[in-house]
Amino acid sequence: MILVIGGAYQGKEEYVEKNFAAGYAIVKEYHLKIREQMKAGLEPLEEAKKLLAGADIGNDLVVICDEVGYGLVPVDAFERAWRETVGRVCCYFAKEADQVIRVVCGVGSRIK
Amino acid sequence: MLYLITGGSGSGKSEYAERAAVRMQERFGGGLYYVATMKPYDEECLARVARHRDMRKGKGFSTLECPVCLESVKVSGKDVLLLEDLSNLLANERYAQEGRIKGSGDVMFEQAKEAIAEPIVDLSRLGGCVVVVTNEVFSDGAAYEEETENYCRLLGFLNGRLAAAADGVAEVVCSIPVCQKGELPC
Repeated sequence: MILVIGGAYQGKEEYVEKNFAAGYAIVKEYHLKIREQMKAGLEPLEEAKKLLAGADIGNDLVVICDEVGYGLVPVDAFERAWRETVGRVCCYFAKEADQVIRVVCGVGSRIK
Repeated sequence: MLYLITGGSGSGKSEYAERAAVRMQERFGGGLYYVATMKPYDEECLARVARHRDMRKGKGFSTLECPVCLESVKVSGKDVLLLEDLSNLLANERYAQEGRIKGSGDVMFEQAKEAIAEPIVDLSRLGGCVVVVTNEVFSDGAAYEEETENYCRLLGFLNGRLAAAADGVAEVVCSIPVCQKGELPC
């Protein structure tokens, strides 16, 4: 799988459309999916494992996720937990990924 | 030697910093110390401390509790210190009763230099190595009250000071070390 990360509005989706068009299953806004999972009482790391286990081997998976951990620790406990969980889940995806690409201002840097 | 390890929340910077410290200890051959800065004040802090303790288990660290006054840490020539983390140490030196960074304006930067930056650099020049974990807290674009902004100013100042003195600076992104300066320890 390929993990594409970066801050909000950095052109991650355009980058993916341009570079991984055909033959890829694309999952967008994964940080929001983690939020929904937490609200529903699910364990995001387990959900991430399920996503990779279910991915079709011949059809590469691209996961796009915002980086959300570069600010002050939020006062709200849920926001705090969500922010950290997004980080941990991205660490898991990065470990499993063939490529990790970080997009800044629309420019992708391959960091793995 | 001095290494600065930075990253966002949940980026895996602690785990990377531990690996770096263990690697440096293999190289220098002295003691391996974990300088713990957190003063736990609630369940969440205790859980965080427990999680980090679990991560360190079996890696050979001796723990030194040091919420303030880093210069009081006694180490010798070949020792390796993992300081975790700069943002806690700063919060203690600024907000705890015994803290020493109480001023505002230019004074607070001078105090931060004396209470934190200089002791770290001194420890890193004893012949061993200091690995410092810090935090990227600067990119949420939110406006905070003046004292919170002062805290961010101070952390930014210290990050810059330490990075300038460091042999290597790593930004850990999704557990991947991205080199921002020099050579990385691992």
